[in-house]
Amino acid sequence: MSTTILKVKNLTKFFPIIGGVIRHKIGEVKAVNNVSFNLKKGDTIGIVGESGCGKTTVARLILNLIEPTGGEVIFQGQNIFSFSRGEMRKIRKKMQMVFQDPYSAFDPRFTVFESLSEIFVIQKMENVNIKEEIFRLLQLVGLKPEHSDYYPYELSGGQKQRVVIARAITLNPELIILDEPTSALDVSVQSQILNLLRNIQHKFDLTYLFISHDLSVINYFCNKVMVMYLGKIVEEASCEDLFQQPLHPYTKALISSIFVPDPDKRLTIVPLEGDVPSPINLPPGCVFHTRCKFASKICREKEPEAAEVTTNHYVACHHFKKIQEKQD
Amino acid sequence: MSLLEVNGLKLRFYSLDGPVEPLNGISFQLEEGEVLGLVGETGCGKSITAKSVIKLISYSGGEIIDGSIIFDNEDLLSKSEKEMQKIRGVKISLISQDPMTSLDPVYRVGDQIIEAIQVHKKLRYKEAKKEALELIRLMGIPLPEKVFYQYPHELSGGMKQRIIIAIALSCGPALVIADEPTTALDVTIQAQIIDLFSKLIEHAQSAFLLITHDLGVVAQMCDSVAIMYAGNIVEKGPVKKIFHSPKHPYTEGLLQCIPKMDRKQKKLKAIPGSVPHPRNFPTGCRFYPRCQHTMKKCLSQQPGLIEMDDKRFVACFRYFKNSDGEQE
Repeated sequence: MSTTILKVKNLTKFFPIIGGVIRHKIGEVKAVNNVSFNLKKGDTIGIVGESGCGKTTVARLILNLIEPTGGEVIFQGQNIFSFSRGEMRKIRKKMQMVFQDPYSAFDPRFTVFESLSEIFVIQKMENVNIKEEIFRLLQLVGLKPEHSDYYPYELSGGQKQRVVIARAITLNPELIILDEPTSALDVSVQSQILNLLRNIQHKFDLTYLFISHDLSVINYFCNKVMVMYLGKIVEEASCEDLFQQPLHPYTKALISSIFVPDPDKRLTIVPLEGDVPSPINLPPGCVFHTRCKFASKICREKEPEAAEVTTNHYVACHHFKKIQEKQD
Repeated sequence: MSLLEVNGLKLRFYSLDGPVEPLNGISFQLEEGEVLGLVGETGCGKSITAKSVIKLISYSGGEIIDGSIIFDNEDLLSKSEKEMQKIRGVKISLISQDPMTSLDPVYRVGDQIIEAIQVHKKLRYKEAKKEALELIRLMGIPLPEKVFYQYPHELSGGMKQRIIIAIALSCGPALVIADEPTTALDVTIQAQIIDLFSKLIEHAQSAFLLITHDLGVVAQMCDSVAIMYAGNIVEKGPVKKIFHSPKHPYTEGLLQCIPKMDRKQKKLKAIPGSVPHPRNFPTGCRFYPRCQHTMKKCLSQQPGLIEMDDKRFVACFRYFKNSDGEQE
């Protein structure tokens, strides 16, 4: 039984909307709403959802980059929201992040070497041979020592993302949050980066939280997946369970919108109707009922609780039993 | 006679470091009512090909230096700007990638559709409005009368893209060029738009030139496909043939890069290296630095497209035959 390294409990973040003549709060964007999950050492867990569902906010909350409205993030047994800035800096060694856009992740006036050596200065690690360490890291991510003298604009998108990964593993972290690490890249480069991330995970025994909107990448890369919709986790399961037996109508819709690159498998698309409602005025009851074909009276009134259907397969839907029967 | 015939198209862009020629004489045909997918990674020249077809490339700083574009038995390159304006929007229309910036933010969407109609057809406002409402309804938008009076910022990305498609189809064009029409959208909205396209293709008599990097979308929608790499078409032919038995090493690599949904893969295949910049295209076959099958010939000579079995063309020396009919 492996240990739990990250515990997220009832995490909530409402962004205030400031407006009016006296600049007071006139509303709230409910970005993340009561999210809980556990992350075990060595796991790769995926968060999937459409834009605006709160996946990136979850990542930023876990790293304590923004103030939460409520809830707890317990990393290696300590609640990180109770930390001072100094303590937070120490714990950040253990949790790193890879951002979506490698193009804006670097200071354009710093060479790769300068960008990477900054870490050692900030963390006050004087007894390290910085040059050797940086060359070693660059080789680990498939670059050459010469690349350390390059400026970001001289590197391609894939190479930049490799440097971002090198920067993330510099301090031997336990947990890396990958926020859409490949969505800005071309497909041929995407597979290189995914394979690199996997190699590094095995080498350093890392735990990944992988945020993506691409289900086929999640299926390849993760062993567990959480589906988010409007700030809530609507379904959570292992990849096999989720893709073979999706229970939430939203998960089903997501899976059926994937176009397989096979002209013989053309889908008769049954698209979800309508758009995602605004997170400012969340619909009452189940947040998905405005687009759901199973929606009934109860969905409009009562919010569904997450129920464990089979072992470790959770779904938050009033009608999952009906959907399950239909499938069998 | 094909609807659109592009022969040996070459472009030149001028920059501070000298001229760049991103297209290396590409040729393709499009029959009436055909849906052709133009696929490739960033920087392969697919978008500038699309812009050249309607002679908008000069607005991006490019110049057509060689080749011919024959549309409906007319040579577009010999047309004046005034004559081109009568073709754009009427016979050929363009749907661009980003729905957020394609509409004018200060006009109501209904008036923007009416503008497109009135520029090309002699209609009174009332008649044009009737047509515009009919178009909005055809796009599967609920409450056309309400949307007609809304401003672009009041609409979601999917809705805006529908309005742009409505404008593009307003004059019943013979050819619609769609440049990454779903890339900026979420997966469930992408499914809605693709579904809409499939219906429009069935009813309208238009031919479609679909530019995308997403092989899943091509498999779903297109009759034939042309794969581009570094300014060349490396393989073209019917979709089924190319997806089931890709011949060019690049096509093969691209298809293997995509994670499969139906089974869990141990390791994803990747194409090593990255797409070269137009300034330093390799001599010889432009794919050879990333190819597994490189031969001596590839380093110095460029392979042209040769016809394989019926209707499929591939540009690779592995399939060249010598005079005895044997593989070289």
